[in-house]
Amino acid sequence: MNAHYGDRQVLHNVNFSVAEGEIMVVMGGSGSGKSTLLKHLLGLQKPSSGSISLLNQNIAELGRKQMMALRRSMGVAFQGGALLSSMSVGDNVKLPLRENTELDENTIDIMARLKLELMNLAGFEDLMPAELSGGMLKRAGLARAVIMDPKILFFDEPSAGLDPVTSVELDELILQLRAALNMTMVIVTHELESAFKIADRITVLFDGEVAAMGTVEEIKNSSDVRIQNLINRKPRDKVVDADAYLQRLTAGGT
Amino acid sequence: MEISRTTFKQYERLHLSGEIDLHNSSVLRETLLGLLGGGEHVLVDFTQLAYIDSSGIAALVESFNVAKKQSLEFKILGATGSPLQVLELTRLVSVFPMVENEHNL
Amino acid sequence: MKLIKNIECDSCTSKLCSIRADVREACLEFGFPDPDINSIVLAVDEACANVIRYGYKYCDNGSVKLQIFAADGEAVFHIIDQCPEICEADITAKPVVDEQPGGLGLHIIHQVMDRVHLIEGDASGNTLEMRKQLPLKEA
Repeated sequence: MNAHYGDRQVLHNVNFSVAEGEIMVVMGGSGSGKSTLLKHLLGLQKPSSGSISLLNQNIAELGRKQMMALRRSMGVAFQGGALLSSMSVGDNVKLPLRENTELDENTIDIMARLKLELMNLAGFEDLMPAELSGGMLKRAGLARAVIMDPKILFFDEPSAGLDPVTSVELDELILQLRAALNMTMVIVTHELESAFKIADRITVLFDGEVAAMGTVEEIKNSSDVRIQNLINRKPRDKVVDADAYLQRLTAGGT
Repeated sequence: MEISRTTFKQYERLHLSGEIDLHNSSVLRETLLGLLGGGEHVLVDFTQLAYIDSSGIAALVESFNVAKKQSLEFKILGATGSPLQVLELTRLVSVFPMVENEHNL
Repeated sequence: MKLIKNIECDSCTSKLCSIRADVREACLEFGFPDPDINSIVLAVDEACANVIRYGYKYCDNGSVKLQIFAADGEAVFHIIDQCPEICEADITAKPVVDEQPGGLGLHIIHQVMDRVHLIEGDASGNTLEMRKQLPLKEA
């Protein structure tokens, strides 16, 4: 698929597939197109050409109702947890069930507790999001994302904002979740350590193009200088367009 | 930080010394913009400069942009050590005209 | 982690100079080579300057704490403020050639340091943690 913002092409010939039960990590620096890719995968934006199939359905061809049905098989965990601040943690986690199912409240309660238990959040359901730490918010967001037992989980920057220890714990949790529920996962991150730990395969984006795709070992051994730079965290060797750079730094002002 | 001024060829030469940071970079900015406002070509002499942070760099960027718009020359002379590293880190070495020493002018 | 230095000062730009001197001293103790010292000093200075500029908005009655630790093979710098809470997105470097104007300071911090994170501190405010791998000791 290709994607444009206005005249600017932001994704170039991006082509990949994720197998059932696989954890695919999408990596790349800021501006590499990984967030744009995620928006397209979620059907929030339409590609300018090409197509996206989720669970064997071409999402461009789906009507609103079919898309809503498909969304029920997809879980999304956003960067900040994206919990509603006016609701308790428990109510946040139950929200998708209340909105999308006719299940009775007792069943919903139990399902929510099961997921909170899985996320080591048992006993926190009556707290408000503001009372949780960063790592707990992430886990609560994850609990909500998987409450409907989605077939595919999309996770945007799981480690962002977490201290290293919490971030490692969350990685463990992601692996446990896959083992327990055999969920297919697409995880966008810029954290190398986390990517190497959880990925079955990694897709590396650079400037909107797939620079590499492969197993952790393959990516580590890549001869692509940009990928080695990413791994070793070196600035990119890039010729600076002096005028354009100056323009950006001064926002075109005087 | 201290700033002193001499004339060298067609340039107003600003000798920077000491350390430029958030505390004093506005003085550098005003001095530079003042010179350019008066239509002067500017040579920013880094030879005695021990340190410059990104706010100092921002003052240079802004001034250089003004100079370009007014077709005035704006050069950086003799950057070494930490100040040169900052220019490299921010990839501005390829944006500013840099001269190693005054014989190259 | 072993605490090497613990400095607290007002959120005043005039303090940056002495903060740099302290960081330089610690880096010398850590055995970093000169070019690394320059860039680490710069990165810590930029981080403190950001706190003063964006966190305290140049009010000089706040506090900026700098703690330097020696951890497992790493130099660890904690910058602690009492500003409104910020999030990871606020400290993410925007690639300087790719994106928006400004952000040079953050760009420098990320270029220089190996890891930059917000961590949960004991008190209110923010604790920015920056880690840099220590130079390998010669055998």
